[in-house]
Amino acid sequence: MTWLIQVAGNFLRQLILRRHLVWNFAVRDLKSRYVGSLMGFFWAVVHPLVLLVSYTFVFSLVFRVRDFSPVTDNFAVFLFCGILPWLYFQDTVTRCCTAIIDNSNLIRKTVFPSEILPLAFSISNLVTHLVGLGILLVVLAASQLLSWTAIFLPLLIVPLVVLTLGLGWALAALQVFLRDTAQVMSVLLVFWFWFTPIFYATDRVPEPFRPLILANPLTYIVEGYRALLLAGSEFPINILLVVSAYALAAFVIGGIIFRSTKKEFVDVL
Amino acid sequence: MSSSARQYPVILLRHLSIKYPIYDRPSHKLLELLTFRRKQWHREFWALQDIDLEVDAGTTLGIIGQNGSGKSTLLQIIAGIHRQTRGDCYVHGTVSALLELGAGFNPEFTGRENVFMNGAILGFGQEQMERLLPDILDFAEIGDFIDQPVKTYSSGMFMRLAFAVAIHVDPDILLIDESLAVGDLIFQHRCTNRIRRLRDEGKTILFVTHDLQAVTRFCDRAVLLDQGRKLVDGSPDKVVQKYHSLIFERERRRAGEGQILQAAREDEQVPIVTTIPHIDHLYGEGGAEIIGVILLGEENQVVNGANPGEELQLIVSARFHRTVKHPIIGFTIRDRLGMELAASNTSYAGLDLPLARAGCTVSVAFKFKIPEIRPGSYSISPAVASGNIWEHQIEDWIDNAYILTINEAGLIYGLMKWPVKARFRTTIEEVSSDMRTRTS
Repeated sequence: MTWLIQVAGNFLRQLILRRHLVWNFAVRDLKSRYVGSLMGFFWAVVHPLVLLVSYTFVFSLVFRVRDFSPVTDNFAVFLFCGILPWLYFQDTVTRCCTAIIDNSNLIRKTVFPSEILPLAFSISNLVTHLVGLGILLVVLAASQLLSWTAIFLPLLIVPLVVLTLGLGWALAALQVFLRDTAQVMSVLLVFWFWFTPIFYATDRVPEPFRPLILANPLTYIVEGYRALLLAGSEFPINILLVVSAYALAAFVIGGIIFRSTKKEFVDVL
Repeated sequence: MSSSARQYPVILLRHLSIKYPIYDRPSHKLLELLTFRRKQWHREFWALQDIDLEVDAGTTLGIIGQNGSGKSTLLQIIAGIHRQTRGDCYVHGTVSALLELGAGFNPEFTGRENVFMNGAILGFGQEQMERLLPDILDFAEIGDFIDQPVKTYSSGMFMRLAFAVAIHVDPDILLIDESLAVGDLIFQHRCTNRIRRLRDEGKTILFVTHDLQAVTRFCDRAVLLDQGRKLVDGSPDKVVQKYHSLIFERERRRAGEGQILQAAREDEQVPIVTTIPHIDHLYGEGGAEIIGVILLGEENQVVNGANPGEELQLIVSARFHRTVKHPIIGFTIRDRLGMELAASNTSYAGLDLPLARAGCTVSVAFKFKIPEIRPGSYSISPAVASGNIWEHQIEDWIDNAYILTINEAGLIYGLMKWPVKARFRTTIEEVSSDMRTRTS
């Protein structure tokens, strides 16, 4: 046990020591998405805005979806609350899959702490996520749907990042040895998306499927986002606890997988 | 015990061996990990075997060897990128590894951004790099291009910038792989100075290169690796020399196969000479000894300088201390920088020397015409060997025994005058593209 703590401590200290590098990679990653484009970072704002407008059109004006949640009757907002954390999760996980093999040059030719790559992607994607969240907050405030509990959002965002990072580490390491990992993940993520209560609320899921939904850590994150953001919901203390537990577990397991396979990367890259 | 600078090893390798597993598929590695290596899923390749190396602080060590001899692997181990399979590796101090110039440079980003990125990889923060930046820019001399994306750089600019970054961060131990010969002459000169300065500051530098001249210029010490083993370790001159003879023998062995030799006829006209102008290095088994080497001109006068086109005779005389069944006498010509220009020997020239008894002296005259090569001084190194052209041992080899100065005769660009004849034609016809294939 003390050994584990020591290893974990070393690992974390390394991450903190190399914070410049993490930061550099995160900034570079963020820039590389907009570098050369005329409007630059503006695109980060356009994307979520377009999503929100389209959802409103399809679900509130065309389908006129009703009775989907006890808290709100604005489906676009309801959907957007769920899809924002999902998009963060999906993007980061997908990018992490190829994080190591895309940077094989660095790993073979320099003394490079490869564990920072998934971390850097988690951070750069977080920026995009926060922009989307900012837009959502403005829309919610304007339509008087915003709950004051939104100030507790960091209590969900941090576990979301940690959870994603843990999975990202595990997948990045796996991809080095099994080059099909990214392909498998892209298929799996489609299932994962529909088995996460994004387009529906958890309590609308038929009983036999309930356990499946409840085992999914993203369920709690999505429901947590809604509970904190939308006025009229209860403070989701249970959700916060479950999410934190999932995040911690993913972080530890992912970290161990990455750390224990890391030294073998160079043999097969 | 010694004076101010205490000598202590900063790099210590003991019986170090590394086996590269060769996996047919990356997933085999995973299978091996999951089964706790009970079954082997790879083929083996020993890149380094039983290497002992001790490098004191402040040493500049050159590592030479043919391709695939394990030089780069050695640096990777010291850098901590690879782990050894057996043996120990101790490294004391911060290491900066330049195993590939510009590893981690992203072509989409500006030079400045890449400098900071590279600095961060090497463990430097924003402020530290901010401080180093003026020096780096000064050194790399790429001017306003620093704020242009790296993809717009010429390869020279790219290399200069990468080199500048790596050399300005301040490691205790600097590992350089094949990257000194970058940029133009002025830049190379600047690199040399910078490396000298690092050396004077007491940094330990290990560099892997094929540039033997650089090894003798910079290094305090050199090691020769061959097929994963350390062959020689010592003064750069000695090690480079050994490398030359290693290559020489391999080349001869390869080139010599299939030669048919004619029986030699004695020629009373060949003089015996007994002077050797310079003796730089000599080595060999001692079965024979070169007692004289001289260059004679067309009137049999001693020659130290010649014009291209002039016909000369090189006389090499050797006394045999042992009876040698198949003697070979030959020579190598190198330019001022130590580059091997040409070599020949009796066997090459189709002359099969008869058995040489202990106590006798054999003298050989090589007649040749000076080709149109760049003026300058060239050295001639004579050698005696025993055996045949692909399997022989050196009995005696004297380095740079005779210096020949080639005089200037017209303009020569590059190493030699390329024998060309030029013709020309002018036309007023409109030249269409199918003219390319039409013969006139």
